[in-house]
Amino acid sequence: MRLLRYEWGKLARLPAFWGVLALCLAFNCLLIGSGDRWRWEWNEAAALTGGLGQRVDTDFLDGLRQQPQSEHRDYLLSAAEGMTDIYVDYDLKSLSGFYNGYVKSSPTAAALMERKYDRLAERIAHLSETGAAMDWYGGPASHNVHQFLYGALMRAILTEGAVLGMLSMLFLLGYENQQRTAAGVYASRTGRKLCHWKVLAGGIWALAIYLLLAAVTLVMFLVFWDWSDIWSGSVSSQFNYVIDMFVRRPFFTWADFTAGSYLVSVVGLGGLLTVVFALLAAVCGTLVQNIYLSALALTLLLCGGAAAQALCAQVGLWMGYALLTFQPVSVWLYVNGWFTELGLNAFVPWQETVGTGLSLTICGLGTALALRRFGRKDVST
Amino acid sequence: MLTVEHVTKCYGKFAALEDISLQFTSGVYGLLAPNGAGKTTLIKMLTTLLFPTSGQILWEGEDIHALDEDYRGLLGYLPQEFGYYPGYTPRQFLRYVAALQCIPRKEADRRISELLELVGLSDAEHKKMRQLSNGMRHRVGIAQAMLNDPRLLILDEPTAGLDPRERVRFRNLIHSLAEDRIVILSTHIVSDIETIAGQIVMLRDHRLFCCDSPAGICGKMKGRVFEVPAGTALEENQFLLSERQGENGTLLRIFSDTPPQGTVPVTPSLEDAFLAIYREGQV
Repeated sequence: MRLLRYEWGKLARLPAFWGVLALCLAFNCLLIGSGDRWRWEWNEAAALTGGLGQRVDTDFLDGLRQQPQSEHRDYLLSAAEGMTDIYVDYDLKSLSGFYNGYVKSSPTAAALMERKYDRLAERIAHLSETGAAMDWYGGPASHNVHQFLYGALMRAILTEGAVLGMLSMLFLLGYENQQRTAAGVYASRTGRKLCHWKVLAGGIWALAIYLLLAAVTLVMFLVFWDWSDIWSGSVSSQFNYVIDMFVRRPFFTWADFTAGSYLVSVVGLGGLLTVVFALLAAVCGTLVQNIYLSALALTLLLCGGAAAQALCAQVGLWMGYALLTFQPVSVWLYVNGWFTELGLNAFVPWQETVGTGLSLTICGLGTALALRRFGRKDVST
Repeated sequence: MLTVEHVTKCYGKFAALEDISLQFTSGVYGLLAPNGAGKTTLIKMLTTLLFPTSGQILWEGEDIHALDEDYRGLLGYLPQEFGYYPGYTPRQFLRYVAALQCIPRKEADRRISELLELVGLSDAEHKKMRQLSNGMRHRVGIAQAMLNDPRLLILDEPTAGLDPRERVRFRNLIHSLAEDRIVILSTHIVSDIETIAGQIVMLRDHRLFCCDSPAGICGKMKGRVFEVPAGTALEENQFLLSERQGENGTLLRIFSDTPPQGTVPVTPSLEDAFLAIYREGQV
């Protein structure tokens, strides 16, 4: 534990780190400000529907009618009155046919895609039973605000957390060589096992920084956006939808998520993904032991993976593409649609969760192997 | 007892050290060779930083890599290039080293105070390391090497960058520490070890050249070191070791297997032996 504290101390003594963290938070503030065009609509809807519950039924409509007459109330009322359960007779064929058409040249990828949409059909049947489509969520502003929160704000938090986490890990693993203390440190009783502590410290630090960024940013967001009566609403409300490759579809989730449980799940999975990125950095940092070279190797690895995925799509190697959609960069890219069917970005249900779990396992094993190799090789000083 | 058994270290096709066999018991050992001879390679193998390509190093009969932390726990090491954390004070840095050496906090604090006193840094213990002079930082290095009260103390080029007063102070310190432990001191500066080392280990052509007492090494040179006036033409088998200012002008100190005409041999010093052994750029 003492060694963990010392490793964290090395990071905490780095003024540049706190500078970058402050810049990230300032950027997030600006980002929150950039969503102002939807804020009024969202808060107004929250004020008018507050206390009416989330399910749009007769009581909800009566309650809304009793609100003081205004242009916005009428707009919300017309939106609520026009609601029907879109999941009851939802035709999935056009959606599945669209994506299957892309991957049909690879029988395995096509079979996976088909199986995913078969499972989605079961989910849609379940959603129609629960009447999730009839939940108000945030009303007509749901899509824009949901995409703003997850597509912009959460993406920024995740990116900042992952980048700071990776840099922190690389810094810790290259620190002894940079300070020329490697010989003394690795000849101590702890020896090369110090790298185990460094990886543990770097991983915990990355997660803590991500959670700090998420907590501060989301609290600031919630101060200005009224979500007090929204938390119990289903994110699969008919007002919420996603657009992928110009195809619009409802927000089909693989489990019943309320706005609250969805946010907690995204933040939680984001934390695991941050750890995955930190572990990737740990593999590079342990093998290279030089901050700049390992940063270069890590950049090549991340960009190379994304480029390979794009290339596979271009040349029609759909099975290769399918495998590459599980990589952490790909999971990070579609954060705004996590826990949904994700179109061409997913070949199995819960793709982001499976991808993160697989990456965590692979990167964990990779880190263990890199540490083992480091323990058996000469220390270059 | 530390035993080096037929140790070879290769980097690709280049052999940095070949078939080195040595035994170390309590006392000061001077590892003396020019730069590039393999001193640091040998020291890094003794500190487990490098793995021998072949052969093994044993502590009390057990391989040091198998002993792992048990071996490193009784090792104190001052690297050739002593790195430090500039923002730490000596006490903070020594506390960190104590954590690396798994020394309990209370015991470490007591030991740190003792060592700071010993190396004369009690007054500077709260200054940042970046504010200390090279010599003071070096003393922190010695203190960190002594923190775990090591049975084996390895110091690689410990006097590099020290002024003459600090060198003397350092030599006295090493002498006082060497009573009940093995001290291996690597240097290419003869004066650092000729008064304190019981045994001198010399490497040449990446092999062990000798392991003997300073008197023994000088004894082998007896009758082969001479002084001649400056300007004397040297014959083929005569090698210039050094020059010095005598009462009647400059004198050349030469090494020769046969005495030059009209000269008498002088008492060889360890420096003469060093220069004779490593003449003409041999390493």
